Amino acid sequence: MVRSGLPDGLDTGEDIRLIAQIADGQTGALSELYRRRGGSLFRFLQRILGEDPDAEEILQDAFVTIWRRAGGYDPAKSGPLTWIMMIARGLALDRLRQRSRRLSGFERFKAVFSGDGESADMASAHLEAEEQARRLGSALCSLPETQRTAIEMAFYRGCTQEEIAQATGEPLGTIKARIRRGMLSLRLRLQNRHE
Amino acid sequence: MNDSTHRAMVASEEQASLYVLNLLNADDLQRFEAQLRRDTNLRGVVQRFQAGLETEVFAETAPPAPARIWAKILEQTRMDGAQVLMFPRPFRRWAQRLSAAAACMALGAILHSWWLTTRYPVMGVAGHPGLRVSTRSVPVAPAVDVYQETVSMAVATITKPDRPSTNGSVLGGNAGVGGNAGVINHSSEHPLETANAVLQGKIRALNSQLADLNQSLNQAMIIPSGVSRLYVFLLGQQELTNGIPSNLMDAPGQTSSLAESLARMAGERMALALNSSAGSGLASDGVSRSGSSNVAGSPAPSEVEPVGKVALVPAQPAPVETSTSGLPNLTTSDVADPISASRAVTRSNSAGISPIVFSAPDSGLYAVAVPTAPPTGQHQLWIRAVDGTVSSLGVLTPSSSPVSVVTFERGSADGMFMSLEPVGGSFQPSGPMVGAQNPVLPGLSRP
Repeated sequence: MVRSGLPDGLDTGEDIRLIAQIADGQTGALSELYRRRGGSLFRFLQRILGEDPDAEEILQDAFVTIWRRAGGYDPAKSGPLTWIMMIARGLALDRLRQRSRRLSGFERFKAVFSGDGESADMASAHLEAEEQARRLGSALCSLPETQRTAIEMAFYRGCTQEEIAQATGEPLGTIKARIRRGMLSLRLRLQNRHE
Repeated sequence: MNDSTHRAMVASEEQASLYVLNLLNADDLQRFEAQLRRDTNLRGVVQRFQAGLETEVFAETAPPAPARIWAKILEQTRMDGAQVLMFPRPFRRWAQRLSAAAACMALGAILHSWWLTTRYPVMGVAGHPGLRVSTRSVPVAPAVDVYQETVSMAVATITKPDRPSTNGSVLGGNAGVGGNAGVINHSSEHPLETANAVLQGKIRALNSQLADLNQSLNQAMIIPSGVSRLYVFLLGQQELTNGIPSNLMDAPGQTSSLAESLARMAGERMALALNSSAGSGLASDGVSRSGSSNVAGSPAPSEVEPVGKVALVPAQPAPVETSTSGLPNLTTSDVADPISASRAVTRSNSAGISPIVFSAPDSGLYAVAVPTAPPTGQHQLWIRAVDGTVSSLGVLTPSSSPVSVVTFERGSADGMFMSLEPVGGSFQPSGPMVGAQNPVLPGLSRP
C-alpha cells in the first residue's frame, strides 16, 4: 500500500518504515511519526471532539496505541495513514460516546436536524463544526451537501447507516448511494490534487 | 459495460465505501472481508476509498501537534517498556542563555579588536613602518581536556574523535594572532597588496580564534552540566587482581578502594558500580560522592554474566593532577571518529541481560553492564536526543586499556542505550539492543 509519487503529506513509504521500527521498540521512530503526522491527527481529532482537552488526550492515547499495536500492522491490509487514522478515530468516537452518555450519535443528529427543543445547542454545535471543517480545509466541504452530511455523520460522528437514514429521513439505499458517491468524489479530489 | 456488470460494480463500491467507514454490520463485514481476500479489484476499490479519507485528514498541511502531548506519550511508552534510559535535563535555561551571551560578548570583543586594529594601529609591521597590527587577544574560557585519562587495566575502550586540545591553543599555531598570519612579506613592493595580505591574515586568525573560543565555550558547558565522563572497566576477578594497581585495592576482589580512587579522580562526585567478585552476577557496590546515591537492586545472578560495566559519571571539572596522582597507570585513550547516526534504530532486547546496574538519576548517573561481545560483533553505545536523533558514542573494543574516558554533550540528550553491532560499529543501531530488564527504572523490559 505504498503510494509513491505523491506529495509529502500522502507519501506513505516513510510511514510504513517508521511503523516497522516502532514495532521494534524504537521510540525515535514514534517521535518521527508524531512529527510527521501528529499535527494532522490532532486537527482530525479536533474535528471530531472540538477544540477540547479531550482531543489532546485522545491524540496521546492514539500514539500510545500505535506504539503498542505497531507489531500487528499489516501494510497489505491498509495503508499506514488509514491505520493510524482509524486508531485515532476509534478512540475519539469512543470518547464522543462517553461524552454524550445517553444521547447516541443518531439522537444528537436527529436533534440537530429536527430543530426541536433540546436541539438549539446541537444545531449551534453542528454549525460550529461545519465552520470548523471549512476553516480546517476539510475535503468534505467540497462535496454536495447530501453526500457531505452522510459521510460526515459516519466518519466524524460514528453514526450507523440506519442512524443516518433516520436522521435525514431518507431510505437506507439512498444513504448508501450518497456515501458511495461521496467517497468516489473524495477519491477524485485526491486525483485532481496530484494532476 | 453492461447493466449487470455496472450494478455489480456499484454494489461493490457501496460495500467498499461502507467498509472503509466502518459502517458494515458484523455479518456483512465478515462476508466482505472474505470477498476482499479473493478479489484484487475490490481491494483496489477499498484502497482508493481509504486514500480519499486520508486526503481528508492528511493532505492539508497542519500545524505541529503540541510538544506537551509528545512528552506524555513518551512517558507512557517508557512505562510500557521503551528501551531508552532517561537522563535528567542537563542544561538549564540560564546556562544556555549565559553561554549565548558570552559568545556574543566574545564576538563583539573580537570585532572591536579588529576595528581598533584597522583604525588605530599600535604596532609596526616589519618592513612597513606605516602599517601596524594590533596584538590584542581575547580571553577564553578555561580549556578542558577530557580525553586524556585512561587507566590501563581491563578490556574495553570507547573510541571517540580526537579533538584538538584547547590548552593554550587559542593563540597558538599558524592561525593565531601574532603568528604566521601576521608575517609580512618583506620583499613585497606593493604596500596595498601587503596591507591586504596582512588584513586577510588577521581575518583568518580571528576566525580561527573565534572557532577556538566557541570550542572552549562548548567544552566549558559540558563539564558542569552533569554526565560528561564514561568509564568502562572489566569486572572479572582475574582482571581485578591482574590489572588493577594494588594501591587501588583493599584485597583481591574487593574494590572499594578502586571505587574510591575513581571517585576521587572524578572530583569527589563520581559514583560507580562494581562487582564485589567475579561471577557473582550484578551485585552492585554503589559509591556516590554526590549525596545522591541511588543504588539499584541486583537482579538475579543467574540472569546475567557481566564482564564489565559502564559508569556515567556526573563530573565536576576533574583536575588532571588529582587523577594522575591517584592512578599511576593512566594512559591516553584511543580515540577515533564516532559514527554519527541519523535516526534511532534499535531492536527489542534478546540478550536477557540487565543493562543498568546502578543509577542515581538525580545526578544523571547510570552504570550499565557490558556483556562479552561475540567474535563477530562489538557493542556500541548510543545517545539519543530529545528529537529522536541517535548518535554513536563509540564502539567498545577489546583493549588493554580498561578505563576509558569519553565525553559527550548532554545538552539535548534524552537517553542512552547499547546495541550489538558488526565489528567496527554501525552508522545507526542495527543489532539487538543489550538489556531486557532495568532494576532501576522498572518496566523497561518490553514484552
